[in-house]
Amino acid sequence: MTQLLVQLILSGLAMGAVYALVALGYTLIWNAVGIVNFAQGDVVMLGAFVAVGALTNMFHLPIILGLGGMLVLMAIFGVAMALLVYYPVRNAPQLSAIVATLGLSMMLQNGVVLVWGPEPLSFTGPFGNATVTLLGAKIYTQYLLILAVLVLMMVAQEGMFRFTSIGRAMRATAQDAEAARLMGIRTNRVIAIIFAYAAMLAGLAGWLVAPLFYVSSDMGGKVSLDAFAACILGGFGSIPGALIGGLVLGLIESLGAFYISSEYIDVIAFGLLFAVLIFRPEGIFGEPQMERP
Amino acid sequence: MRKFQVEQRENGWARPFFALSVCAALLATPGAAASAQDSSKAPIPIGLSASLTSQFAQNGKWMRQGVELAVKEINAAGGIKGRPVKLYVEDDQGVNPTGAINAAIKLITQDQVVAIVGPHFTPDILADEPSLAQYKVPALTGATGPVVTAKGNPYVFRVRLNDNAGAKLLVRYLTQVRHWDSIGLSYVNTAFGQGGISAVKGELEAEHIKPVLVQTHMDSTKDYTSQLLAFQKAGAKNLIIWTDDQPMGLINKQIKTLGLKFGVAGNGGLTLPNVLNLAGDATNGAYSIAEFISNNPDAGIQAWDKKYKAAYGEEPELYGSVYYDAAKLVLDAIKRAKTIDGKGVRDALAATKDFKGVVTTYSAAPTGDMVHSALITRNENSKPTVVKSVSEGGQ
Repeated sequence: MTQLLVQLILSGLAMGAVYALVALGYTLIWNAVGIVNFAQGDVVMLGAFVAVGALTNMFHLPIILGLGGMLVLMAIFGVAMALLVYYPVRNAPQLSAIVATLGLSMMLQNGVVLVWGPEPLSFTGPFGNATVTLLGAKIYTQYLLILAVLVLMMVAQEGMFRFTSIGRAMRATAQDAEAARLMGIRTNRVIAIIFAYAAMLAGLAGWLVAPLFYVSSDMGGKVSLDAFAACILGGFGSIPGALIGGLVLGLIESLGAFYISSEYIDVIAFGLLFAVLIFRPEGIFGEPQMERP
Repeated sequence: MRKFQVEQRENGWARPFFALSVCAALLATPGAAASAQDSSKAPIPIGLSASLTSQFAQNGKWMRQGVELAVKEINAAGGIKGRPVKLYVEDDQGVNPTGAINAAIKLITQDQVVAIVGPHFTPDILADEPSLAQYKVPALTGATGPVVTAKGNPYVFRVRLNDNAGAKLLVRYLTQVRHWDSIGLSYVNTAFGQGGISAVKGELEAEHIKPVLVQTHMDSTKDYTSQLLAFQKAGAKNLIIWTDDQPMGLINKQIKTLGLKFGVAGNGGLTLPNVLNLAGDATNGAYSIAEFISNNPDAGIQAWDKKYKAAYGEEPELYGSVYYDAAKLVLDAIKRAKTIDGKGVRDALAATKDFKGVVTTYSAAPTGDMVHSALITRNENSKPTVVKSVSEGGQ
């Protein structure tokens, strides 16, 4: 019995951690510029393709270099997103910016097929199919890596936000871009950095999940939707909310599919979301009143 | 007077330009072209609806390769009655009824095709069926969902074994020869998966076996841990899986990782190279019902392997082979058709008898089903091998 629970909880938390990483990206961008980046899930996919398709398969880099290289490239891509997708529509109605991100999503999905072909890629990653036995349950070592990375990222991020000037600049811009600019912070630059950071988080999520599932052009879709739901669950705009929302959603999906029904799992997960929106629309960590941009 | 003169000058270029445009338009219209040249040399248009994008883009690529090879061959041999064959390709975007309808309508109304090869997926061909009947253009599909030929639409032809027959033959083999019991069922929640698993359930019922648990998933589902553990909890010793390629690969891979010991069987996806590449040796020991595997020792198949490899540098698999045959069936029907239009080709297709293709022999039944036999295969060393041939109405 414990074996079973351990397997379900760990696989749920691992998926939840991936949702959390993507949800963080949504949250940071929303806080900074007030738009929802609907291409975030596809940035996850792009990160996976760059790390696996290009750096590992084409250039045969060792895994760590592949990861590092991908993060650098994703940061550059994030800046490009800020300059080419967000910047031109920053003064247009919010809807234009959202449609722009939808367009980016379609471009990414079809672009990867043009570059890497239609066949899904498999990736052994640092652990391959290795499993570890925890409390009698056999689980992918990769799950433990995902959770470890999430914890490390959160600690590093908190440190960055609190103790570095760039982190403080990011927080200030997120809270009130006008005031930040008046205080001498170069908000345009900071916004580009926020996009770069969000892209790195998404790429990291893609790299973490690639060994478990296949790297394919459609892998971003479900993650995108679930991470968005996680944001809403945890409170849109709240960073701890994104984290907890992601983990909770992952657990609900895993346990719900086993104990209730795999057929209705999406109904359960999104039904819960409906309930949250009706009874506590600000989410778990959100503030009851939100300033509309 | 001056105003009039200025107008003349300003419009000086407009009138000759306008006259030129009208002439060009007249020359460009098909009617003019047809009467200007010999219409018996005009190319015969046929269409291909394939998944050029989406997670099924690889399958679409294979389909296209098979069809293009057949068209190239016939054109190299002089075409049909002196007319070359022109292939129009449209993207149906995978398992996507809207994409499929758009592709079909475009092929029929814009490209004026006399027949369509594809779409491949059950939900797609189902969505196309009303348009095919309305415009009277036949389509040949490799979809195996039984409902596809159950509606009495005379414009739909099936070039693979109907799942009703296929699932039955597979289940019969598993229960009677391999003595399977304690069976769990897993299927993708589309018309294809639902039809397939319903046929499996029907045959199990006929043999008085009740599945221990039935579960479903979507094409986008990635994590099957909960479902597999649920099967284990329910006491399943064997699983019959009816699903699309990526889920098939993932389910098998995760069974292996979780250390679960299930006997596995399912639809032909288990024999495809993309599933084998992804799942590796996790599918070893799995049984499947399929039409084509490349390491079939049959001399005809070996010759086909060589031809396909020479053209594309890779071994043929199910999609390339079946749709090569489908294209050849269309071309053969066009040859026999009384009139080279949708209705004429359809009537010729319906009269197809014992047409020897690469994969199998095709004979059209009144329902539109053209294939009545298949192979039971078993995966060994990450490759499918033939266990036995089976046919409808037999063992």
